[in-house]
Amino acid sequence: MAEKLEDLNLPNAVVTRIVKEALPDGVTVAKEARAAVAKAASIFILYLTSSANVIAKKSNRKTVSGTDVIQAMEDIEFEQFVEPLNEALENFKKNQKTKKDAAAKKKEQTKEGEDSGEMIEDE
Amino acid sequence: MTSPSKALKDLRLPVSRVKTIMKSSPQVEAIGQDCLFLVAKATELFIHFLSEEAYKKSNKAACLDYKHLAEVVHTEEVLEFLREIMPRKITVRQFKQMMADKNPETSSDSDSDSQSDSESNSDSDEKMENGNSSDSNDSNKKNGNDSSEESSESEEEKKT
Repeated sequence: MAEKLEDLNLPNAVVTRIVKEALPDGVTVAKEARAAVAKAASIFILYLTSSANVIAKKSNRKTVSGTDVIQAMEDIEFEQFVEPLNEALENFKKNQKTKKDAAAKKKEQTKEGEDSGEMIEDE
Repeated sequence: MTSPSKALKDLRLPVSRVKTIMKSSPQVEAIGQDCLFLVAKATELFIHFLSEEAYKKSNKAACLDYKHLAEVVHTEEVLEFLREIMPRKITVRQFKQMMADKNPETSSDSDSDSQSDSESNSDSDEKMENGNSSDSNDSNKKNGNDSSEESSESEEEKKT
């Protein structure tokens, strides 16, 4: 649960950075516009979440999944985001897998290292 | 502008904050990892989309203003869900004109009604003026809070 009311806002600095990336160089963003975009983004999260939640509930699942979100994007008529989101999701999964693999490898390596260390000691 | 491929790779919005916002919705029970990631990513795309569209509406102005955002929210069908929180700004004179246009219909009911109506009108006029000025103060405060919040956040991250 949110402890402070400000916890329900997105950090302004991050939002402004994303806004500036969308605009040509040299275009400034009025303070009021920044606040409005941040607020709109929060509302968007809730809007998308509740749509995705409805989809999850319909198929009797308690946990909202990634496919629910993609389906919800289509429902709220942001189809143009579906493709980049799918790409991002693939990247995300890949990253997580490589992270996992890397962690597993590290574990193995340290194990091997210990083993070889023991062997050297034995010799 | 950054290339879209770069934008796809990393998230910039804090996932924890996105989760907090999602959890503030009472119906939501559990959120999957990739769901959380997708919502954060979608929100970034949404911010990008909203600012880009608003800029198109601004006729290449040097400064993106609230009125450009409000304009695009009220013209784009997909942004309908934002109409209530992002009303078009009107001047007090326009507001009075609007009320004056409305009043003839309500005054036909009864005299007392129209009287109370006009009273409430003048009240809301004042409120609107006050609201506008306090609004800008609010956003100032918000900015201040947010920056301090962020620094405290990064401190927390360091601790953990």
